[in-house]
Amino acid sequence: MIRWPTVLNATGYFILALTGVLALTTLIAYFLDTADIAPLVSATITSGGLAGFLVLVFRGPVREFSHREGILLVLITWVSFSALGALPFYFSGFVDSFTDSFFESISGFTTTGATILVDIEALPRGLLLWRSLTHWIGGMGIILLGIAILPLIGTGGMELYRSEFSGAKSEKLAPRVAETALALWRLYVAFSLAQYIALRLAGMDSFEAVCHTFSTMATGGFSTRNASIEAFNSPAIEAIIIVFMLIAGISFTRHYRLLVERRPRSFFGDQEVQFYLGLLASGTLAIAIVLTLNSHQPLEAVRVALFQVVSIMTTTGFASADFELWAPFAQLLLLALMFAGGCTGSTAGGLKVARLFLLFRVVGREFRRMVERRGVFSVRLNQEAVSENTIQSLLNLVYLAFLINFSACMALTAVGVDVLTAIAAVAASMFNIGPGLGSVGPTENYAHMPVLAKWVLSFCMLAGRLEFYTVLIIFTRSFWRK
Amino acid sequence: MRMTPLRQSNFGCILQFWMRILILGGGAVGASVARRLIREKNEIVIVEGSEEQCAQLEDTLDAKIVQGNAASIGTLKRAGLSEADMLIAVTNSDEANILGCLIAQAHANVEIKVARLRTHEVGLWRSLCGGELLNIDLVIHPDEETAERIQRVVGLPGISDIREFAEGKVSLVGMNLAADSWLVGKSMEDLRKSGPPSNTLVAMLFRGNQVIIPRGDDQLRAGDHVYIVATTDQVSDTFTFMGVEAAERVKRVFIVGGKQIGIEVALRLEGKGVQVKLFERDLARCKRISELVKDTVVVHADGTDQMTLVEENIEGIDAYLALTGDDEDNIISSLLSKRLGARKAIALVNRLDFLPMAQLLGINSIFSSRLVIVDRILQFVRKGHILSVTTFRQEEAEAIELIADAGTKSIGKTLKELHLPHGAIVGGISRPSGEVLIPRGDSVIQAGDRVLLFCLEGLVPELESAFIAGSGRAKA
Repeated sequence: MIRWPTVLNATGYFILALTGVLALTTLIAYFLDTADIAPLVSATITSGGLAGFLVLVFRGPVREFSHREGILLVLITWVSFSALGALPFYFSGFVDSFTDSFFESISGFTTTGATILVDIEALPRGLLLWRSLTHWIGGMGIILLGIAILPLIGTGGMELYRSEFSGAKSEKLAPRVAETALALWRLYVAFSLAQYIALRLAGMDSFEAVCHTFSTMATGGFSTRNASIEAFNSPAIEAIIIVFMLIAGISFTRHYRLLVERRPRSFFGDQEVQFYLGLLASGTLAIAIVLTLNSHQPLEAVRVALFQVVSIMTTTGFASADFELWAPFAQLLLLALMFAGGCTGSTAGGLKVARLFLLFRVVGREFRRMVERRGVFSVRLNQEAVSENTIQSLLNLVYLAFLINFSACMALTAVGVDVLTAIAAVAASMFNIGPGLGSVGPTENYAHMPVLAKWVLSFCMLAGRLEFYTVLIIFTRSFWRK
Repeated sequence: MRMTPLRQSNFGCILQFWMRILILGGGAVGASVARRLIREKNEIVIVEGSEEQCAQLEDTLDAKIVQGNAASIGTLKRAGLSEADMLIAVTNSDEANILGCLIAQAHANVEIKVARLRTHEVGLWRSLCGGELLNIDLVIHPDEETAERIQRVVGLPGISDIREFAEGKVSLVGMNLAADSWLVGKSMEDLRKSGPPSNTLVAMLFRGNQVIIPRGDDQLRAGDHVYIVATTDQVSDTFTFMGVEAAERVKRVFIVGGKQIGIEVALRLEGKGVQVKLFERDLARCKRISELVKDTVVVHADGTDQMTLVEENIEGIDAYLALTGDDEDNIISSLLSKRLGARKAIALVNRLDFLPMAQLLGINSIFSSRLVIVDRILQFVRKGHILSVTTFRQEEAEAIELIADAGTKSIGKTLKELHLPHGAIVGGISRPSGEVLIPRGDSVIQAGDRVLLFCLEGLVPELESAFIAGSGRAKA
C-alpha cells in the first residue's frame, strides 16, 4: 500500500528546500544587477506556493517510508524539481516553449549539460547562474541533500540514498545515513571552493568561475559561453578543469578515505580508480596519436585529446575543440567512452567503471569455466569476492541500459532524426554527457530536435541519472499491486 | 561507578549525547537492541554473517551493516572497532562472542563489553570473562535470566511477572485480572479509597492491543493485564490486597522440554524442595539430564500429551511450565494443562508477535528469552543520568529509571503540580538516604532522587527534559 499523503508531504519539504535555493539565486541575481529578475521571482513564488500547499495540506506525523514510497518520493521529487527549475527559463521569454525549458532544466539537474539554447551568451547572468546551479544541486544529488539537511528521514533513508547514489551499498561513511550524506556534501563543497579559487587565480572572472565550478564538480557541462571552454583559449583554465573533472569522476567515498581518513592506500589501491585512470590514459594516448597522424602538432594533440577524453568519460561534456572535425576513429572512441562513464559514487554518469571492470571479469570467468569444467571461480573486486546476486543485478542493469538505449534510438529515428545523431544523442543524454555527434555535436545544440524527441531524451536523462531501475519500476504492474 | 562515555554529536546544531555501539550478530536480539539504541540517538554498527540478513537489516535500520565473521579481526576493524565505545556480542555462537570481546579488549581496548553466552558452563566462564584478559562487563545467559524470572512467579498463580527496580527495592508485579476478582469494575479512585497498603500503585494496564497509563477515573476490567508497583518489602501485603493467594509452599511442578532452560528451572526449584517432574522425549537426553539433577524425576515421555499428563497425575499441580523449543507446542500444551487442573501455566514463547495473543488466551505467564535478553542489555546500556530503560509488550510502554537533577522543573513540586504528560506516571522514588516510597499526588521529588517512571512509547525525550539538566534539544 502506498500512503500518498506521506509521500507528498515529504516531497513538499524537498520543494521547500528548492524554493530556498531559488530565492537565494534571485537575491544574487539582483546584486549582479541583472536588469530582469522577474522570471526568477515568479518561479520562487510558484515553487514556494506548491511547497506550502504540499506541506500544509498533507500534514501528518513523519513516518518511515516503505520501499515503494521511497521510490515514488525520489521520482516525484526529481520530476518536480525539473519542472519547477524550468520556470525561470520559461518565464524569461528566452526559451519559446515549456518543452524546451523542461529539457534545459532536467538536463541541468541530471548533470547532462545538453542545451536547447542557440545563443547562451544572450541570457541574463541570473539565468546563467541558475542554469549552472541546477547542475551543482543535481550532481551530488537532490535526495542526498535532502537526507543531509531535512530531519524527516530516518529509517528508509537508506532506500532513498541507494536510489540516487551509485555503489552505496558496500560502503557507508558513517553509521547514520544522514551523517554519511552530510560528509559527502561537505567534501563536495570543499572541492568546489578549491576549484573556484583555482579558476580565479587562472584569471577567470568571479561569475564565470562560479558557473564553471558548478558545472565541473557536478560533471554537468553547461558553460556560460557559446564555444564552451574553447572560448577562453587558456591552457591554465583547461588544466584546472581537467583536474577537477578527474576528481569529480572518482568516488567520493575514496576521496573521503584519502583526504579525511588519510588512508592513501585505500584510494590508490582501489582497482576502480586504477582502471579509471588507465582507461583515461590509454584513450588520450590513442586519440593523440590519431590526431598527430592527421593534422595536429603532437603537443597540441595531447592537450585537446586529454581535455576531450576526460570531459567525455567523466560525462561532463565541456568542449575545448570541435571533435566532429576529428578522424572517425577518434570520434567513435569518444562515443565508446561515453558508455564507460566515471566511478561509482562519483557525480559522473555512464555505466560506471567498476561495472565495466566486473563485466570483463565475469566474461573472463566464463572462459575459464569453459576450460576447467569443474572449476569454481569467484569474481573479485579489490580482493573481495563479489556475490552472485550483485553480478546478476549488474548484468541486468547493462542489459536494461542497452534495451532503453536501443528503444530510444528507434523512437528518435521514428520522428525523423538521422541514425548517427540519434545514437549519439541518446548515449549523450542517458549517460548524462551532453554534446553528441551528428547534428548535436559540441558546436551545435538540441534546439532543432522534434518535440517528441526532446521528451524521449528528457526521460533518458532521468533514467540514466537514477540508474534505470528506479524510473522503470513504476511502469511494472507489480509495483502498483497491493 | 564507571564513567559512561559521552560524545557530542556534530550533526546539525543539535546537541546530543550518544555512543558508538558495535553489535555482533544481527539476529532477533541484535536487531531489537539496535532498533532501541538507534531511537535513543546512538550510532550503531552491526556485524552479521548472513548476506540475506544483512540486506534485511540494511533496509530496516539506520545503521551501518558489515557483513562478515564476528570473530575475525579484519571484519571488526572494518566495522570500526577502534572508534567503538561499547561492544554487544549476541551472535549465535558463544565462541564468536568471546573472541569478539577478546579482539575488542586486546586490539582496541573498547571500554564496555557485553556478551551473551549459552553454554551451561556460564558460571565458570563468568570469572574468566570478568578478568584482565577479556574484561567483559556483563555476561548474559538467556536461560539463566529467564529461569530466574520464571522461578519468581511459579508459586503465585495470579501473577504473571515480577521485575525489580531501584536495586531491588521496588518491585513491579504483573497480573491478569480474572473475571471473579474483586478488583474488576473498580476505578483507581476506588482503589485509593479502599486503602491498599500505603506503598502500592497501579502503573500500567494492557487491555487487548491497548496500553493505558491509568488515571483516577480509569476502571479495571476482567481480562486486563495489570502492572502494579510496590516496595519490595511490602509486596506480600500487596498480593493479599489484590486477592492473590500465594501458595504457602509450591509442592509439585511439571516441566516440559529438557532443553537447558528446563534444566535450569528444575535445578532452582528442586533446591527449594519442590517436587519436579521433567518431561523429555529424547531418551539419550533424558539420561544426560538425570546425571545433572538431584531430586527431579526425569520422565521419558511427551509432556504435551493428554494421556501422559493424566497418568502422571497433573491434577492439582502448582505449575505447568511449557519450555520446549516449539512456541506452538508450548502455547497449546499450557492451555491443555489448565484444563486438566494445573493451577498455573507458564509458557516460553519466542516469536514476539505471538506474545499479545498468547496472553489473551489465558496462559498465566509468558516469557520470551529474546525479550528477557533485550531488556537486560538495554538496562545495562546507561546514558547519562538515565539508569535503565525497560520495555513492555512490543515496545509500546517503557519503564525508565533516572536520577532527578537539581534545577530541573521536576524538583520541589508535588507530582500534581508537575503536570506530567498524559500517558506518564511516577511509579517509585528512591532517596539517597535509603528511603523508598511509592508516590502519591502530594509527594515531592528532591534533587538526587532515583525516580522510576512509566510511560507510553515516545514520551521519553519529554520526560528526560523534565528531570535531567541539559538534556533534550538544546541549541548548541
